Amino acid sequence: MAAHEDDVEALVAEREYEAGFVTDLESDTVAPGLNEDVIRFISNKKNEPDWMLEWRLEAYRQWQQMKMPRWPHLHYPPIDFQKISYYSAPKSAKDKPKSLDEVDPKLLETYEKLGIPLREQEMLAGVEGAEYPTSGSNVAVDAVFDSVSVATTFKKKLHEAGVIFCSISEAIQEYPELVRKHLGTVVPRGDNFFAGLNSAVFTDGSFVYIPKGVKCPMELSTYFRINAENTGQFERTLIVAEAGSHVSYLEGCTAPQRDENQLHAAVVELVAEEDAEIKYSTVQNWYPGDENGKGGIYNFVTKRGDCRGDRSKISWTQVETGSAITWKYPSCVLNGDNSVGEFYSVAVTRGMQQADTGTKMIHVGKNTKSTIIAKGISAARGEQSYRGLVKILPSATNARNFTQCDSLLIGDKCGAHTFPYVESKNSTAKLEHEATTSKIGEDQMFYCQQRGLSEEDAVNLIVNGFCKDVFQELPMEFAVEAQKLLNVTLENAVG
Amino acid sequence: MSATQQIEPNIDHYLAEYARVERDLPGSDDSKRERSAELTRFSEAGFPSPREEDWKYTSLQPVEKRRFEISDEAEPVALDELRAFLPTDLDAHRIIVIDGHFNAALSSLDELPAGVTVRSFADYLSDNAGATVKAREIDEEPGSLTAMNAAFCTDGAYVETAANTVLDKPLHVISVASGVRDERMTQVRHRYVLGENSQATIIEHSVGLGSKAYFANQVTEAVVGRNAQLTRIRIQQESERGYHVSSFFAQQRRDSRVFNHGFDLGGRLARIDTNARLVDHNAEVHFNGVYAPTGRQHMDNHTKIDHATEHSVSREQYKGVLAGHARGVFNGKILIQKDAQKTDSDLSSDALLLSDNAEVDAKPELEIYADDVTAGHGSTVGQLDEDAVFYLKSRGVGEEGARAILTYSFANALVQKVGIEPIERYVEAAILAKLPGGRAYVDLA
Repeated sequence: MAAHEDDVEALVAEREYEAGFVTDLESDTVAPGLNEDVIRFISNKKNEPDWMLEWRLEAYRQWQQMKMPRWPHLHYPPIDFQKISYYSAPKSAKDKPKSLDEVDPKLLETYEKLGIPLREQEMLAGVEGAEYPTSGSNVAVDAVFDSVSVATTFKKKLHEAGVIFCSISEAIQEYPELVRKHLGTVVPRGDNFFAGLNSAVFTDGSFVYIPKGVKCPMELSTYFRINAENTGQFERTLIVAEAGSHVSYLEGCTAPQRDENQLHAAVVELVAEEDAEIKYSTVQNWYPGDENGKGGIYNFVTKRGDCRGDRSKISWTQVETGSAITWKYPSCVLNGDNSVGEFYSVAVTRGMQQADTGTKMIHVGKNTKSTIIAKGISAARGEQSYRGLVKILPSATNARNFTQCDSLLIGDKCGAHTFPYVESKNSTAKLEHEATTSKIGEDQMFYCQQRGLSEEDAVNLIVNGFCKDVFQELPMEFAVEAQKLLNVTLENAVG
Repeated sequence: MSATQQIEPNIDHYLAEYARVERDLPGSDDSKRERSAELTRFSEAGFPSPREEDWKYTSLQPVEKRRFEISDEAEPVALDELRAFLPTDLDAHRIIVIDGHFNAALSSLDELPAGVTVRSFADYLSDNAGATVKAREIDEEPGSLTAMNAAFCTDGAYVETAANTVLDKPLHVISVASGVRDERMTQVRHRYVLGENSQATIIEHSVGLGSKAYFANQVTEAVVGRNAQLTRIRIQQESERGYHVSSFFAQQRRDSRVFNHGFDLGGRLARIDTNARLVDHNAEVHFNGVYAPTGRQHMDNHTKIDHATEHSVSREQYKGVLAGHARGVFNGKILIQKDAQKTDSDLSSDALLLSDNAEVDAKPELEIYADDVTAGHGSTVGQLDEDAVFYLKSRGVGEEGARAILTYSFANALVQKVGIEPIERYVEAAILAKLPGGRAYVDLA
């Protein structure tokens, strides 16, 4: 009995401690540094249930045992994780630029080239009081990322179909069972250094649930979600497609976004049950730093899809043009028999950008198929590596893989590298890998220019042709933008 | 934990072993100092572990847990015991090294053309005060096992060709592990120095005889002068208790050519590193390799071609045929440095898995810093085409024979590239003797 009382007392003491913390809740930002208290603070702030807090703490404990990976072909100064603030509330109005006049003119120039309307520009640049335009305009960007009102109509439509599409914080409150069931099942907390960090401190992200047999009535994009711009630097996305369902998800935006956080470590988990199909498209164009490599985002992303059910399919498409450092390997674990994994990628590095990106295809089930098409373009002093793994486990009878990775070099100071790993433990598997590296042929340029194209147009034409296999996998509107983005990115890269 | 390097007990064994044999190792006092520096390098680094990227798929634990010793003298081996390893009709000069010691009686080095030196590496070290264990021209960052070899090497072949000379016949260098006593190691080292416009063809043949476990650690260094041509054929037939590790470093000058053919058939575990560095314009290198592990054999081929300057060409092709519980590893790296414009490079790796328990891990790497280059690589893993098997059967060939024909023809493309018929026939027979159904193929032919 006495012991029992002690327990109660201890509990009360703990409560007080937590309560002591509540006062802190009034402030909107935590001081730089990472410890268990910071994690408690984040969890508390988001009003999370206990299991979620425990989950984060366990991730933090595992993360402490891990070392930052040094194997990527990337060079950057060591990151001090104690100098980062792990929670900051949305920027107050007074910090934002008052008008577009205060925004970096280079950024505006790029918006201009991409044909982004003024209102949208203000929103992207984070100008005070800027919101999505309420009436739809018909510029390409808006055609997809339309107004709040439109988004609301979409929400209604999604609700009717039974699709859940909300922020992950909201999902933890509203659908804790679903989140708890799937969170961390594809990318476990101890998976890698950055995934561990993300699991401990993630601030927000998206949650998508497609019920059995439902074909999602529209393409989902983070931009339909209200308040999506404050997801922070540790984003966490979870997409669950139940048996027979179908969803296409778009992430990112072609327009360069202003972002104060230098380090990004996101985790994306996809779960595809029997006959389900998930298509995940990304356009990433974060600030790459200046010509000398100063500033720029460090982007360390763990993306993985689990083809859990038979005949399921996961397809990753990415266009990566931004960030100073990109470390990203969207992968598929093909557990279900006859499941299919796909990876289509265009990555561009210029200036001092470095990218180490690729994919992993793990074949577990019978008759599993995977396709990898990776196109790398390296210009100026950019460094780019394709790093891929195709692994055939003994159970994966009749597995099939086709890999093609091509690199295009523009300029004599850039680098392009390929590190494709192939591990086969089954004699019935058929694997093919092809890679080429070359520059734009002088004869190709000559031919185009002889037909009256300018040098710039000729390069664009050739580069777009080089990337065609990937662009055609993107949803139509995205593909048009991506093409434009590529042209803008490579402007002045030649000559 | 103290700041000083923790030396594992098995490294202690090799330090003691070095102390025991140091007096008998060939070379001047200077070269002894060189050896002892290499020993330190080895003892600090230790044996490579699978935690290192270059050793990801190969564990040296079976080597590490044993305590191998240098043989003070060779076990008696008669030429008759080696008969099986002498290709029929091969007209060649011959060097035979048994248990790490040059055997003058079994070797035949008469009638060498003027300007061509072929001798024992130990004699070369002992007779020249200025001779170094490591070739000065080759500045590769050595791995711990090449450092171990530099410390312990007892003998090998030394070949030097003066400008404008040709080694008239192939040189057949056989390194034999007698396998009579348990836990012996051979540390054999070869050096080839080819002068301007000279040519040599050298067959490096590793052979294991007895039934005892041994460790063969071999290093070959080649300096290939302007417009010189080296053809190196490496045939690895260690015994089933043999652990084989070998490294080849070639430095190629302007307009030089290196043709390297590797055939890995024997050994319980084999790890082969083949490296070429093209330091001047218009050099050309060809690497061809066939590995055919069966049973529980493990074979790991690592290659690196370093294009350092303009207008060089490399061609690389590896083929693996794997059966039983075998494991094959291939890692081919092509490095094109930033001044190496107009490089033309191509690499392909193909593997044929004949059994569900076999495994292959392949990684063809490209690391490119120059833009005006053509570089490509291809890699495949698969099994025999059932349609082709059916076709042959419909023509009256039995199932086993059909599979053998298709399997051997897969490897044959590279055997045919050697260009010396007696060697091609010898390698063909050696591969067929190992392949499942090889007998059926021989009967058909």
